Amino acid sequence: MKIVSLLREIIYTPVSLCKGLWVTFINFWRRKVTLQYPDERWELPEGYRGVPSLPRDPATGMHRCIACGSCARVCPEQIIRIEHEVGEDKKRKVTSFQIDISRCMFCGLCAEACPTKGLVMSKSYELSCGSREDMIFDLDRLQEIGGVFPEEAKEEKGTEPEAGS
Amino acid sequence: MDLVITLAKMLAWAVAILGFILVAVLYIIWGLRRVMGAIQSRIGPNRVGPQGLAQTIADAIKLLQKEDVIPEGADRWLFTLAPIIVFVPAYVVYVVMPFGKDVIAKDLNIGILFISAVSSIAVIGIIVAGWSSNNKWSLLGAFRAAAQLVAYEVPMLLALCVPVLFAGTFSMQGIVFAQSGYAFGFIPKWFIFSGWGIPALAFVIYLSAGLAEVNQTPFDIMEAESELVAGFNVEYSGMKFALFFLEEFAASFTISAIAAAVFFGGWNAPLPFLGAQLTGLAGQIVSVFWFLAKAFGMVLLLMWIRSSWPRVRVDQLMNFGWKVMIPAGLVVVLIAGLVVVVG
Repeated sequence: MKIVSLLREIIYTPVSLCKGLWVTFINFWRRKVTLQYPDERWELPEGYRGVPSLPRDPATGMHRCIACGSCARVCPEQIIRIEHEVGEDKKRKVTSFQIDISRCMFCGLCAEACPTKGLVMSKSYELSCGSREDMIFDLDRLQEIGGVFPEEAKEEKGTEPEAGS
Repeated sequence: MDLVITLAKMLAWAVAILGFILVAVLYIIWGLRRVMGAIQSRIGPNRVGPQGLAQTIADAIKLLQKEDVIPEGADRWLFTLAPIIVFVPAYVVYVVMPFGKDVIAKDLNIGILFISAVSSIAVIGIIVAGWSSNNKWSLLGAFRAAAQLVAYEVPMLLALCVPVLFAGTFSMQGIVFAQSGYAFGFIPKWFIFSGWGIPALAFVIYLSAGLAEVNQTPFDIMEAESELVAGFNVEYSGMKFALFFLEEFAASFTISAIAAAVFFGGWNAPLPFLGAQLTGLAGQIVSVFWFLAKAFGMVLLLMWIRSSWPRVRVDQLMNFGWKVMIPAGLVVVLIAGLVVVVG
């Protein structure tokens, strides 16, 4: 019995070694998975959550923030700071909108809480910079990242936030 | 006057061989990284120069610039000497390397003996490196290396005996000459294809032992990263580390080149119309081309094996060496002798 298992081992060892070589040989010709980053870019999936941003409304050329503070309240990291003043038409007007991106965990709760859908998770993910201060994004920066609302998003304006949020 | 010419010739060969080793090692390292990358579905270095060809040059320059650290408590003299002791044998071996028709530094009549005798000196260098570093991991790595190299020297020599028996000479050029000619006009009379498959068996033994000799993956326990940090050269940095690195790849090219020379017909062309009849300078160039092609093909095989097979355990390695490889080598030599005598 021992002889049989020994013989089987003697035959199986070279076979398995050749199998191993075959696997790597096939792999050698496979498509490479490496993405040569600065030259090639990742195709972002639908619903990717990058930096929170304030896109401009094509109709007004402005962001849609009404300074309600929902995002600042819902933010788990409490990194959104909004300052506002009340205008003559008794509407709140944003004077300062800051997000400390260095502590942001990109959960997207702020975008979900926004009643005007004005706060949107953008697809921007290249955030390296030279200092901590540069990581605090202000209104201009957030608008710049956000770009302009696409047309189809316009119709969603003013829809109710989803239940529970 | 004769002495001057001889000395000049020696110097020219020494410089040529050193240059060849440096260039070959640069591109073997680049090739290894590209091949392993491809096998692992990566690209590998492709940024420095076209296709990354200058990558190793950049790495070498970086290594030369690095601080040369000698650890406290290390034996300074031995620590400095060890890389040289390791590198010199790997360099000297090329004296008898049959690069082509009449392209050989010195065709010693004991060529194969010279190779195995000189290359076993490297073990001393490795032990010296491990001991003088005053580090337990490097010492353990050196112990393993010594045990492994001593164990695998024997089957390697036994395997090399087979082509010696078939050729009837120890001289490298003699062995290559014995493989010239073609059976039926097209099958090359290389040893790997002749002698009822006995040299082929010897080649398998030689390849396994050779992998162990150059510490390549199935037998790389002396630098098993997961167990020993890096083996005998943990404490080395900068220039000295570069010398160890150079030696490792020079040795792997040596193993491949010897296999190409004694089993795969050396510089003989694989088919008669591919340059076998050429004489003079053209014949020499073609023969060098075939030798290098075969040697680098073997290097490629080593790379393939290196990226495919897992590492064996220390006790498995020693068991395999003493209980399988050496008896198998003895049996193959015995049968080879019978084949030579009978037919």
